[in-house]
Amino acid sequence: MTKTLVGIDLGTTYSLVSVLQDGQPVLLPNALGELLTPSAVSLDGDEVLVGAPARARAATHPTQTALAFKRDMGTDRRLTLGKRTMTPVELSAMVLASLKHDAEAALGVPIDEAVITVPAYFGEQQRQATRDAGAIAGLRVERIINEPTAAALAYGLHQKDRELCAVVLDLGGGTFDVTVLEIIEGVIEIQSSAGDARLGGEDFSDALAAWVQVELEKAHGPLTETVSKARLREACERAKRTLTHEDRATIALPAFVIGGREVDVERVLSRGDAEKAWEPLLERLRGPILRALRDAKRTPDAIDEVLLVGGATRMPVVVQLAAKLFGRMPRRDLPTDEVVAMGAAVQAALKAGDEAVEDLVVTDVAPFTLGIAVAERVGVRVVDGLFSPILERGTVIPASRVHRYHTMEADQTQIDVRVYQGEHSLCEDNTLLGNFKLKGLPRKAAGDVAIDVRFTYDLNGLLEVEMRVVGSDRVESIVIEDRPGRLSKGEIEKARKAMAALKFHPRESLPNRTALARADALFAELRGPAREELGVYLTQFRAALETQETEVIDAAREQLVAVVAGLR
Amino acid sequence: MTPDLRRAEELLGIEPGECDEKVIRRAYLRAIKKAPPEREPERFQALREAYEALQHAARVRATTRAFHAAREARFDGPSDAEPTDPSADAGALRPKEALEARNANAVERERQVEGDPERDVEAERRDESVEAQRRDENVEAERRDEHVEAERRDEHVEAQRRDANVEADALDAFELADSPDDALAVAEAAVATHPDRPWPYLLLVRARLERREVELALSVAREAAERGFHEPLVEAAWLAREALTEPERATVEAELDPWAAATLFASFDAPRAERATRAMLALVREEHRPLPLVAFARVVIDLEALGASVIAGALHREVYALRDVLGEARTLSPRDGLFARWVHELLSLPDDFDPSLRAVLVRVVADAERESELSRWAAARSIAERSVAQRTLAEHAPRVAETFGGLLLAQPSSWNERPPPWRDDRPPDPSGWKAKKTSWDSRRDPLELDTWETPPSQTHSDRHWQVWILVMACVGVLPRLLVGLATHGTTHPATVPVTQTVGDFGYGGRGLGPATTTPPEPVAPDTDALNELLCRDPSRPECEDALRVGKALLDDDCDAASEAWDRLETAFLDTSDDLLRDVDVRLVALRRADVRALCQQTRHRSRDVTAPPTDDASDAPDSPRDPADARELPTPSREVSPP
Repeated sequence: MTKTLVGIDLGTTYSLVSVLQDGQPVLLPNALGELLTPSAVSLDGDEVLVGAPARARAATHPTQTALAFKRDMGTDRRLTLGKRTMTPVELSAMVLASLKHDAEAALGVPIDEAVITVPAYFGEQQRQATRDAGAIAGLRVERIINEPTAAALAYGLHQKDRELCAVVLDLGGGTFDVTVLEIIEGVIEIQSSAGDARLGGEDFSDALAAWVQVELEKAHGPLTETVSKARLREACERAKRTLTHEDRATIALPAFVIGGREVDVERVLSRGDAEKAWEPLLERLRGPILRALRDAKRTPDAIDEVLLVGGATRMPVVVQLAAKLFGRMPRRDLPTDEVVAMGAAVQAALKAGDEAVEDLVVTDVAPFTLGIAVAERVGVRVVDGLFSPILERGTVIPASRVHRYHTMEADQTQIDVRVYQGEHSLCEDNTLLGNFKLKGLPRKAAGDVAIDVRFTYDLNGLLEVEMRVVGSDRVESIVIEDRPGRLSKGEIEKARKAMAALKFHPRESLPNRTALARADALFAELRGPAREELGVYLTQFRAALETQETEVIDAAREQLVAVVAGLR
Repeated sequence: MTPDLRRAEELLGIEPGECDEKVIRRAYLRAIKKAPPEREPERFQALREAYEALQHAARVRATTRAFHAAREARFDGPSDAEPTDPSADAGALRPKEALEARNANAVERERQVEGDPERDVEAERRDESVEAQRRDENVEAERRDEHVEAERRDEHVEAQRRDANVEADALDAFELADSPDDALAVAEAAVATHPDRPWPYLLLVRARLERREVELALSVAREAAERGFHEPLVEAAWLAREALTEPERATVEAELDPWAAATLFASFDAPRAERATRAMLALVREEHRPLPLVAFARVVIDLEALGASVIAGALHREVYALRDVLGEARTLSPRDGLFARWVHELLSLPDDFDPSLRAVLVRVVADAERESELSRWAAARSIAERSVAQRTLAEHAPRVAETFGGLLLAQPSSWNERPPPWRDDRPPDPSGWKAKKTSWDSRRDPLELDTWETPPSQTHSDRHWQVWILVMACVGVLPRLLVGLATHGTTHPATVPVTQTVGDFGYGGRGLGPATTTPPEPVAPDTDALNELLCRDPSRPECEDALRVGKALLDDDCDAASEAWDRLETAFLDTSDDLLRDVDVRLVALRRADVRALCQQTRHRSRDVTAPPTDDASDAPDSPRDPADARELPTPSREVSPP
């Protein structure tokens, strides 16, 4: 095998890159030596920071930092960073580029192709946006796989000899995916997937922050300052993590600007408080689980294993919900943050034809329904704009399905074939993928001209539409590539050049920058003697930076990092 | 067994006729390990399709076998169709039996103890321990009882779920059946195995109706009605119609919503239809539901055909009264008004729409308009509303719009003497069941069925002809009529754009109506390329037609151009001819209207430039063919009949 394909988990909060080595998935560290790279981009004057330093700046410079832009992939939303606006695709491309460099540094070979994971619930536009982001970052992305499928691969790699039916619950930073799969006769069969594209760990932090905000506003007045909101959010995020292994967590916000004044906020949150705040979110978790089970035609008690994936599944409330629903304790053998990336590495190896995974067979399903727009006669009325599915979600791919349609009027010589993706009964609620007019049909009475429309969907998510006029040899086929919103090659080149023109913080000095940002964020939080102490170390570090001597800088940095960790 | 299934079995390497689903599944899994989707996508796809086909066949065979088994069981005597779980009952008995046995032993021991007064203390101790044991056993038994109860409840839920699964499977098998016979078999099997559920009867009724066995369907529906399931009767009613008895009609009327009931009964039961229509109009009045004008007109036509013209008239008046109650017609911005909506709907009808139906609609609109006092209406008319009507006319009949524009709401008194309209001679549509696969979840009311087997007769009266003619003219019928007479008597919607939003109501199938609403730009046919291809053999009639098109376009002879083009298009439908097949279909993918429109465009443009504008009414389509043309070009040797 000459090609090196990497697998990338492009997450809402964290991203990882990994590769299969000696049959085992291995995660590649970034410039800071960490395996998890935060999906964050921040602007510092003219300089662009990606990853940990950007994440650290989120609390102190919220208007110049972009987080959780994965949720906006596939939309036209532009995020403002200071004076610039960027699309989510560009931001994701920056994260991917930094991962690419990390991988190249770790492996010592150039990387030009990757497999990227997306939530199973991502629609065609979002998948395409992910591919475009990869292209801008200089990566060829031919295969996009679903995150729960990746998790299933990571688990299934070692379970090939067993026979079981498992459910993977992937609650990441921003998305929730459920996949039902069966491992039987050494084949990993994905049977169904469902999810919620806007439900993740971030929402749990948001809910907590909203809950606390209501209380604070009752006591002190309206909360309007952006920085205050960011600080509150950050504190709630930490509290959420603390509540995972402790009964109570403290939210301490000294010199908190609220209601036009500065107050010292200190609130103790109990697990009960948190559960009250999270109740509606937990309800939302049930829907996709039940739908996935229904699609797979299984009951909860028929499930042998429940696998939890994604950082947010560390929360006890989520574990409890899963346990209650399935009547068994969920498994978390593999590190929940890393599972998806590991699976992506396995898929990358499969695609590259790595011998190590030669005997691994995986079948996946179509993540959403594909169909066309039709009109139907109901009594004496004609209803237009209905969605007629041709390839249902959950069909094992690659697949080819055909459906027969008829003309509606006499002498109708043209039909308009509009391809949609979605689950709703009206086309206007679904996503348009492409449009084609089939002309020159024979003139006959209404309904006498039949057209067979065939959809062929392959593993790479490419849809080929073939239309055949029944009774003639006439066949037309198109490949749906030009989806609305897709960036053309020219636009990708332009974006790539634009990204190259940005001034990125040099990789070698990333650890320093990160340490500074983290220390700075903590400095904003502290008061009194602790703050003074931190200030001393900060100044020392800044002085060390000026000396430009690596040993001095490294020593000062390590000291600073230790102090920060101690004061947290 | 079909050859496809045999091929599928060979592909998966299983025994022919294998119907154990588990065996099929294992064979599939073993096969795909050698052809994983990653490495051999095409072979994998073939294996998967084979697997799914065999699974489906196995399921169908299982239900059919169940039917046969049930039928045999019926003859052999009553037997349990549903497998019950005996272990639950046995489990409940065992602890009780054991308890009783132990109690009996304890009693015996007590008796033994009582008979020996010297061993009192020991006996007491033994008594206590026996008591304790009994108490323990009671608790145990209770716990086991609870467990059994819980199991039974779970089983009930399971049974319900299994029921739902069975129903879903049967529906799948029914929908995917290859022929009406297969579907009938599945339905009969379902009825045999689940006689106490409503859905098998529905399936059986549908299966019978699909085979046009209306009497049998009706008898099945009656059988279901005896058990209290009325839906099959409703389903059968659409084709059974007069065969329904009075109480059955009452049941159906109760089950359907007012519009469906009105449409159903209008053709054979006037009082019920009237009742249903009034109920619907009440809903419109009180809940402001939209009134589907065309559906209403259909009901009225049927009623009149039935001879119930008094009722029909009464319903008309009801509708006018609605207009007043809703008060919409008097608004200054009638774009949203009920009346303007009706007018717009009327104008949106395609040219070949049922003329007698159109006549009824016109009557409704015209009467409403008359009663609202024309002068007041004219005064209230805003420019916006006028331009809506104008724009609609302009889309459908540009030259007519110019001539008659805005005439819609003027006094039609000058149209007294006009020839009567012609009948719609299109043959009735054969069936609405043709290869229809409606999804079960979106099962709509049976209005989908084509029940209009004969074209309705015309029953409009004289005094409405004038308005009717006006409207027909406004949508371009007159010029078309003349064109039609000039060109082989076929009707071509020459001035109607490609798209229609209201389809022909004679067909009950699912269709791909073109849904764009802008007419296409007329594009010049690539006559040079056509000439080059076709005139390789100059003796062919197609060659001279192609040449004629080019020449006619140059001469601004739109008539000749479109005729020749029409002949060419018809020729290209003959796919047995090698040369014609080679011609790129895209070259021919033009409507005849485009050639005409293109010709007219170019002609107007040239006229504007070169000469003062002449009267449009004298333009070519109305005039008969100039005999001079015949001399210049040889007449086509082939008689072209309309497709």
